[in-house]
Amino acid sequence: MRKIISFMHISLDGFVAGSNGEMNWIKVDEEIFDHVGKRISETDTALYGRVTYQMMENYWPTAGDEPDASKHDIEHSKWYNKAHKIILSKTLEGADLANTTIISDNLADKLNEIKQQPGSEVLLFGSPTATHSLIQQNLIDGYWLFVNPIILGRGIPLFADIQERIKLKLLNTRQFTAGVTALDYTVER
Amino acid sequence: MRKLVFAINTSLDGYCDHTNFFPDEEIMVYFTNITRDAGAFLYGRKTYQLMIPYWPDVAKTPPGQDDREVDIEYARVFDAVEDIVVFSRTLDAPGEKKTRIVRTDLHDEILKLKQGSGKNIMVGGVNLASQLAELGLIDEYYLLVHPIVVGGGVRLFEGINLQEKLKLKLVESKAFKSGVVALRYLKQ
Repeated sequence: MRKIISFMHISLDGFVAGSNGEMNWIKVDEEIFDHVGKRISETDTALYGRVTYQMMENYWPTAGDEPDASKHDIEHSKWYNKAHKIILSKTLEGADLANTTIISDNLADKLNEIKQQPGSEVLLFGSPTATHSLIQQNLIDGYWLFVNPIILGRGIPLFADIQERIKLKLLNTRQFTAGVTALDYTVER
Repeated sequence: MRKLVFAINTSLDGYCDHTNFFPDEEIMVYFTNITRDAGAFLYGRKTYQLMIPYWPDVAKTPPGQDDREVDIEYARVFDAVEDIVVFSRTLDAPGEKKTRIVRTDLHDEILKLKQGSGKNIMVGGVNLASQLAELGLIDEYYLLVHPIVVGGGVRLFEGINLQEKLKLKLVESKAFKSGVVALRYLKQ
């Protein structure tokens, strides 16, 4: 069965962004991009909430073509254009977008159907609002978190409205020169 | 200047109630080693009442009882710490000389303590630590992240009012058999 993995950069106090969506505190460098790039290259499907999708769609399709494009820009842009993208949104329309599926209702049924199909793990990039919803419906199978060495004090939390405890199994940790620690968990059921 | 150190067990979602966690032997050894470098404990009332007389009693456990060796060792190291400073408006002084109650300004008292000589000062308890983190007084953080999301309780750094984000420097991340990850940071 395919797994949905929540992929987030978080502060030490568990926020994924500042109160106004600020992400300028997130440390990413070549070391982290290379590490992240490896797992992403093995994934054929990305999952996004609407807000994150709109940010991604604004940047990645052409990021690799810019004259000052970095190695990461080129790689991830290529990957993004090929990957199948699932967007959770009640308002977006786009039946004609290439490689894109919009799920606007029956979330659990449709995602469970996708999980039964053959394919790689599904990476849920950022998308805190969608993540909260999926956690509540027990649809997240793992967490791939990059803990940044910073305390924000306030912001958008990774975990919100948790009704039931979630037991996790730590698969892997990795320390990066930037002071970020990657924590890779699977949900124990 | 003495270092102010904060060490705490926390869930992945940042909740610290001790009842969430069952530290195994590896974790107890880790905490014991941090505590060996402490010359003083700093507590608010709640954590003080949680730790004392619980740990001093464990330290007096005669051999052959049920307590784990690692717990007894932690208790002995705990009990050997020379000073206990409790911030409380309501507690009365307990009458034994290593513990004193402070009712005055937190900031001033900590600066005084730090300027004294001796080993590290360890702060226990989430409320007090949040206030100290806010004042920029904590020098070293040990967050023991347990592989569990609990959803509620006493939240780490709840209500912390930071003028600016608090930037830290990661010095160590250590994974344990139980899936706990110890993250150790220095204040920048």
